[in-house]
Amino acid sequence: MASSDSSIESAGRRSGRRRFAVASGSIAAGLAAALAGATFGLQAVTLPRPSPGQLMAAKTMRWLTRHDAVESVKIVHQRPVSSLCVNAVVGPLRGSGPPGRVHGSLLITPHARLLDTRFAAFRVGRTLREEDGAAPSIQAVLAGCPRALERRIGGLLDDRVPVGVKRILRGGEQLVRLAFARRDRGLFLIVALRTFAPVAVRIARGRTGWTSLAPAERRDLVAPSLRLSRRLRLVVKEDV
Amino acid sequence: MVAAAVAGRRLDWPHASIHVPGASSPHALSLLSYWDGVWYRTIAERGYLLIPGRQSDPAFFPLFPIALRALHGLGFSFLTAGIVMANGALIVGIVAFYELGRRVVSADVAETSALLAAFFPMSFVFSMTYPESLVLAALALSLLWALSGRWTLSALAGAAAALGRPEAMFFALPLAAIAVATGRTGRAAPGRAIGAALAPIASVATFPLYLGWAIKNVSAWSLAQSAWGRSFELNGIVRAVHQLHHPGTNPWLWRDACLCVIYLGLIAAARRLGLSWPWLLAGAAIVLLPLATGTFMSDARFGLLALPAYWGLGALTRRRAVRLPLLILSAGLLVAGTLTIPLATP
Repeated sequence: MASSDSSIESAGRRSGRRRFAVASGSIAAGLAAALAGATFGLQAVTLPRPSPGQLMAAKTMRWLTRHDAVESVKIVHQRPVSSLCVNAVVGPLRGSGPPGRVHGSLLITPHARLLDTRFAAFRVGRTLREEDGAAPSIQAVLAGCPRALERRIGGLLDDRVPVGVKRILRGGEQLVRLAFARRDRGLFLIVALRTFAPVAVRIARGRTGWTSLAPAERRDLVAPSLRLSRRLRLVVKEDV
Repeated sequence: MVAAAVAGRRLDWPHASIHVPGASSPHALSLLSYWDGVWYRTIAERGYLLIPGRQSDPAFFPLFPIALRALHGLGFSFLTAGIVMANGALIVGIVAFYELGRRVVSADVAETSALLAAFFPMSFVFSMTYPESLVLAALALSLLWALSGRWTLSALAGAAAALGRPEAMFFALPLAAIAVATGRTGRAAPGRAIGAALAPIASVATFPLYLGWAIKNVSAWSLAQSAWGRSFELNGIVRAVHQLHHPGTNPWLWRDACLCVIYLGLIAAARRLGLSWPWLLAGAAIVLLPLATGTFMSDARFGLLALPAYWGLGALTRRRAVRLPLLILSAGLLVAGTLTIPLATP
């Protein structure tokens, strides 16, 4: 009789302890979940969110960081002119050039070869000749040079410039037109809706038209035009 | 420290035209808003956006920008709001840390430790528009309230601390230890106690979730960290040590490396006070875990939140003959540290 009483008592104590543990666990989980909800809500309510256009532009930035070369075609005097731009590593340079080795873009057009970096732009001949003014970097942006375009879009996103979005249909493909509304450095970009790859670019300033862009094929990268003189190869290397 | 910041600004120090984020502001105290202060302000003003291929703001936790935005809403400029909040939180933090110390170590060690925390050479960061002072206050209050059995308040403060800096979640360990210890005395509300210990972890987890919701990228925090040159790897500590010897490495990294060693030594010294291992482990994790990202950069600042290190310093300086000279030296280094803000990111 006594042993049956004590076993009932200990079973009761066990189930009581279990109930207590379950209740404590539920309270702990409930408190943690409530606080998680509150902290999430606090962030959601108080902090501004980027616009859909800014998010799409950020996705285009991601595409650009993953590509090393872009070919472009623009219409000049009703004739298509194509160029190729590859990522390059430049340096060390003498004179007023950037210190050490820097990343840049090597742009090959039918008329010239141009090297654009964050610090300066150079015309590539037998030697590198520094170019003044903003024209070379605008040329690199219009040619869809991944790094130049990245820098331009990145700067606009850093400043959280408003980005207008308009869906368009071209050749059966869903595209998006992104308009970076900034008086001095405005930019228009058409990107593929599925991949966010840039398809065309235009700069708001001046009377530049659209340039069509496409990722460069491997065969383009062995083009003779890309080969530099042995002397220049010491300072300019393709970064692909 | 504030006077040193004003003097540094007035003297236009350093004269060299080096680019320091935030240096363009004409505010007398703008020295205290340099470097990451600019990023916190950007988040407060414009929110988060991950910009692939360049340094962007999802690398920074949201408590400080949220608080900045709240004060800005009351009419303060972002810069004034940041400086008022950081220094107000520093006062609360030091008082709360003193009270916490009285419950964890002896009263004399608690007093010395609080004083040395305020005058520690890197403590100028507590006055900058950075989240460190808010996190110090929230952490100290969370632990203090846990020791008083006020679990809901402790959970709230713990969650706030972890929303300021992710390292604060390591203090879930001492919080859990306090919950277990009070549970043994039979005067605990175990559910709320465990909930309080879980709160910092739950709070940290909401940040990637928020980024997933707001900018459609749950991994934005770690991707942004990589753009800042930080990525967790198993050999991170080895890489961090190697980085010190790379040619062209920023010499200021040695300041961080030296202070890292000092913090660890002080945490070891705190053992002599009978501090239990969860406290020591939390302190050591705060100092050591950032090294797993492959650099000592800013470890001197991260270590400011390793609370047991101050108790270790308090234990080593119990004698007045040691304490006074150390306080004077520390205060001198603190002023020097404030003046060197334009030279190196803390």
